[in-house]
Amino acid sequence: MAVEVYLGFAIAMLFLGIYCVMTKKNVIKSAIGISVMVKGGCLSFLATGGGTAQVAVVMIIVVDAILAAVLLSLAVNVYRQTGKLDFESLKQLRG
Amino acid sequence: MYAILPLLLLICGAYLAYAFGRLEKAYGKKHLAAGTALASFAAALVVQLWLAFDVWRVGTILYTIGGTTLGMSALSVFLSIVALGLGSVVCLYSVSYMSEDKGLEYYYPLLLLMVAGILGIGLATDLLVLYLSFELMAIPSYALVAFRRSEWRSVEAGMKYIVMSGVGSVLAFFGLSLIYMQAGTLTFGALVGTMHASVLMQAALVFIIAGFGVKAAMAPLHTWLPDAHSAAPSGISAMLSGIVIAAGFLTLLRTAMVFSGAGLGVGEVLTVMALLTMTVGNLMAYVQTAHQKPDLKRILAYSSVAQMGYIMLGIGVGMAYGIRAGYEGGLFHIMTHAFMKGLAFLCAGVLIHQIGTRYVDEMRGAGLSMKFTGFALALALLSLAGVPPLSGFMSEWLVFSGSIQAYSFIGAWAILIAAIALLNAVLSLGYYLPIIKTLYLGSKDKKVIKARDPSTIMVVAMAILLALTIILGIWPELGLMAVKPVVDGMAAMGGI
Amino acid sequence: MLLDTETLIWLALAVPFLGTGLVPLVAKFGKAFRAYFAVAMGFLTALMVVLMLPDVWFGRAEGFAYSFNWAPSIGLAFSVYIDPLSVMMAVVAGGIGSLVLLYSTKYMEASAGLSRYYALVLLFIGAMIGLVFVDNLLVLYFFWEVVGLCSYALIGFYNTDPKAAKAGIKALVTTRVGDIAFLIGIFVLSAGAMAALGVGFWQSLSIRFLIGSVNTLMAMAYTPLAIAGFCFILGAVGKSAQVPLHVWLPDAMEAPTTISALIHAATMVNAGVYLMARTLPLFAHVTGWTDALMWIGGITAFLAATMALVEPDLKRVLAYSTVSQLGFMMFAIGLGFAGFAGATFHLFSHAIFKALLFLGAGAVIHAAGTRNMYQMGGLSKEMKVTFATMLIGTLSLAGLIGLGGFWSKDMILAAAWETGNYFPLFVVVVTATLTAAYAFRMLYLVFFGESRREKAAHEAPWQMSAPLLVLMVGTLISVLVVGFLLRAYASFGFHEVQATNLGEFIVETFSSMAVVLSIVAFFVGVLLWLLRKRWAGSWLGAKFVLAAQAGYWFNEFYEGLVLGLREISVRFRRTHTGDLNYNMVGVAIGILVIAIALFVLGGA
Repeated sequence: MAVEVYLGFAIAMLFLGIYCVMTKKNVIKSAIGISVMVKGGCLSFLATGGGTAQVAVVMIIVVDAILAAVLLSLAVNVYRQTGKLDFESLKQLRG
Repeated sequence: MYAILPLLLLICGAYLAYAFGRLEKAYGKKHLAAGTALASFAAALVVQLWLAFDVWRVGTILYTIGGTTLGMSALSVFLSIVALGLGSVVCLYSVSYMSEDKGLEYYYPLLLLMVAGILGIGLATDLLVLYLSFELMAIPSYALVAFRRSEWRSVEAGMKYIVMSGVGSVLAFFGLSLIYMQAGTLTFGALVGTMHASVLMQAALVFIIAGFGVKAAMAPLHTWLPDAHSAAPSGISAMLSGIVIAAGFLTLLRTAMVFSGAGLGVGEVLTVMALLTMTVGNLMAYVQTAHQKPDLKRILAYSSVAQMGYIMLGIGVGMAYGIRAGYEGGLFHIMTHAFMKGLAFLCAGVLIHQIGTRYVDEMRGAGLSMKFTGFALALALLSLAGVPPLSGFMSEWLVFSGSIQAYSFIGAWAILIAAIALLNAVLSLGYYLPIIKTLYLGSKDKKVIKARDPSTIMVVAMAILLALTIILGIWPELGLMAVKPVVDGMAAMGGI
Repeated sequence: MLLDTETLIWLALAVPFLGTGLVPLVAKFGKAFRAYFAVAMGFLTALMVVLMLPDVWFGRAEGFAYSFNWAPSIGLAFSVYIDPLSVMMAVVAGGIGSLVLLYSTKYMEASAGLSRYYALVLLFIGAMIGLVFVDNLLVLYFFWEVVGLCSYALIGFYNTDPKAAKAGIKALVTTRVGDIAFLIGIFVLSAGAMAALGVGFWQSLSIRFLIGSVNTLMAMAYTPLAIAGFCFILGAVGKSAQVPLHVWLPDAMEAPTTISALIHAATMVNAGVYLMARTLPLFAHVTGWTDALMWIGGITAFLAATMALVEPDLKRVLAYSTVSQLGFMMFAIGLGFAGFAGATFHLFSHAIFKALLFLGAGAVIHAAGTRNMYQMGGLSKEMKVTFATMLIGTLSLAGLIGLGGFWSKDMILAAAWETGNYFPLFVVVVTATLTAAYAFRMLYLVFFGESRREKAAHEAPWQMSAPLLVLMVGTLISVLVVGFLLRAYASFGFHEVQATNLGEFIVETFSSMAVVLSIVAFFVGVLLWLLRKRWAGSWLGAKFVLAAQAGYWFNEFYEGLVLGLREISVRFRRTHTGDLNYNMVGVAIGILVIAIALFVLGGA
């Protein structure tokens, strides 16, 4: 397949992810959204091929895993303190 | 090998600090982890200063490791000196400030790794290492913001920070993939000068500016900052506001420098975003005082947004019109802002700790009972407001000077830009001065009257930053010594 | 000579700054020692600048230039240029500064936080001397802001008093508005000069260099020059408390009286006038520049005099009077080269007699325990020295023949007469009349009539009366410097100002038509005060008194502005919802904004 097709998919995944974080009120869903975005980025890297791309993708997957770990540990704390995983409870700091 | 010595010292220090932190817990000793971290910061700073003269004299020191090259350039020296300087002070401050917290075996390694990431941002010679260093800086910072997990404030702020910043990182990563798609390489050496304008590259720039811009608190991507910077432990707030956001911006700058000469208008865009950022930051900081209970750290956090605006403005006009004074001002402001904002946050931490409130109104009269802290905070705020003979004046001055030198290129627009920036400077007086005023009003509050200056260690930490804030104002040459080679390097890359 | 001018310059700059640094350390040896240490540093500084006088007075027609690399990386040079005008300003700063310090040893004795006080006063003196000595506009701006900072910190010296703290903020913010314009002006001017003259950034900031190439600038870079000229006026308006930015000065009277005398009467507020005088050769031919200055000065002088006429607070009367007199100076510079001499001479004599009045007022307030003139009265018997010195000062302000104020004010009127600006001259003569009226009102309310006080007054100690006597002598003999001042422009290569000696000057004064106006103004002013009950009782008079007492609602206007800004920012705050989803929408908008900006501004 041509590069453009991969790129199209990648951009679609990216915006899907942003849309998810923009609209979903659940912490886990936003984590999923970010993950989808990361995969979009990986896809667009892989589309061109080449050695550096593979290194980059492996690295970003590791980074994503760490990010997800930190995010989920925070989510655990949110759940402990509010009993929910809802963005609605994350509105005390504002303005 | 020398090039990565400071970096290695920090990373080894992180492991050691963790080990000593466990020992500390197991044997009931105190300050082991803190001591280790402090030692590695100090060692790295000394090595860095020693290497700095070599770099300024001879040029970039390269070191190839595992298929990639790290290079200690003038930019990297500048960034590491500021980061290590502020890091050492914050570490010293934390010895006393964090001594009652749990989990110090995580705190110090995370702090060291965050600074290691900042060093990496300077050392990288290809975009991938740059990006990974950026993440090495970012991920510890998420954990540090939420370090006091039992406080709701920290958790909420950490959550917002990680989601927004995570999205930003991915956007930037996507931007990198587009660059790779066009150029087939990610090393600076191969990229600079070969880039030409195309829709693909414009898209890449949008993602890169927006992506790293989240970290650099570019409005309207800044909304995480007031929460994160005000909720973090004060030492960490000082690091985040002082250097992490600036490092985020330098990441953006280093990436954007790849496009220099391609005529994509990066500088112009940065200028526009800078004006937006400083206005939003100042307005929001100002409106805190209209709030019934203005939160000191939140005001300082919004002030960081505004100050990032000045930095962006300087570098933006520098890139757009090849104005040296703009670059010099922007970079120098990174340095002075690191020290003065760091100082302000450290003082705020002391006030909050000793008086037990975050709100300015309840700190009424604190400057009278806590003489040193009050004085230091007053000077830090005056410096932020750009009052001479303090360092903030010198750097803001250079930024304004740079922005109006664009007069030769864009005429009246340059005056408009400078006027907006300067009106912002007046607006900022509207929230800095009332804080100082409140600090010195008479008080009957027992908690305030009984409050005293903190332990000697914390006073020393603050005194170092205070001294730097004053000295850089009277003798700016000391700081410009590190700034000038950076600008020379950028000029060589074709940025000027 | 033992000390050459170069050494003197550096000493005059170094001594006060050194004093600033040492005061907190010296405080360890005791309070009296600290006070007299500061006094000694003050007098040492004054000595340095006075020693510079002979050289400049008799010797050089050319100024003395020297420069020192401050920050070579950015090419920032600290360049000094000395001529009679700057030495005169420095003598005022050093001389009155040291007298004020001596006065403070007694006056401020009982206050807390005196290390801060003395350190700031010395810092101020040093910065003021720096301001008048430098040649580089940006370094001048640096000192301009430092004196502003000292003014802010000293107005709020009684920091437990919310009113004082608020007045300090008001002063700093208001002058900052002018300062912004000034800074923009500097940069625009340098950008224009760089393009037109093909010189480097820092050279394009040298006042002397710019004046030297004024013809080229007029021809090649007129627009930047004009923009800069009007921006400079705004800067001077802020610093010298001219309408409409005058509102901070009366409020600044919350400062200790010594500070009012030094900073808000004799030195800092003159910085704006100094700047205008200094840059007059640069902008004199910019269309409308001198006219703008003339009208700002004239209107300010008039409005402030009317406000002084109805003010009950002694210090605020003096503050309005200062604003009014500064207006006179601005007016004079607005007359062009013809008025330059009058403006600078009036600056000098005003600095002396106004410092005298403030210090005298300090002694009075100290003794009477209030600032309200309606609660004073009858002090002439109890405070003989203070009364005698203040009498001279007030008469000088009112313009009695033979006193310092008369000569300089007459010079301004004569210049207006000669240049044919009759209508502005009329406004200024009316102002002079009002000046005499409020001067007598003040004198009467404070020193004559029945005592309306609660406690008995006492004469001030020698530390306070000695400076008063020195300043009184200064008021009597200030006319002697006139010939010296007139030479100031010769050193810049401008010979429009006629150099005259004292004898010629006196003859000239009395042969001009203007002297009649001066004398008439003085007597009509006295009459106006004597008949005060009659005109104030009329309908128009009552309305006028009401408006003047309200300060013509300038304060209300600015308060409205601040409220409006606050309203806007409160509304703006609602965009920061703290909801993560909205924050992400912000990110999306950010991407869009960046994309649009990039496509609009990008060259591709």
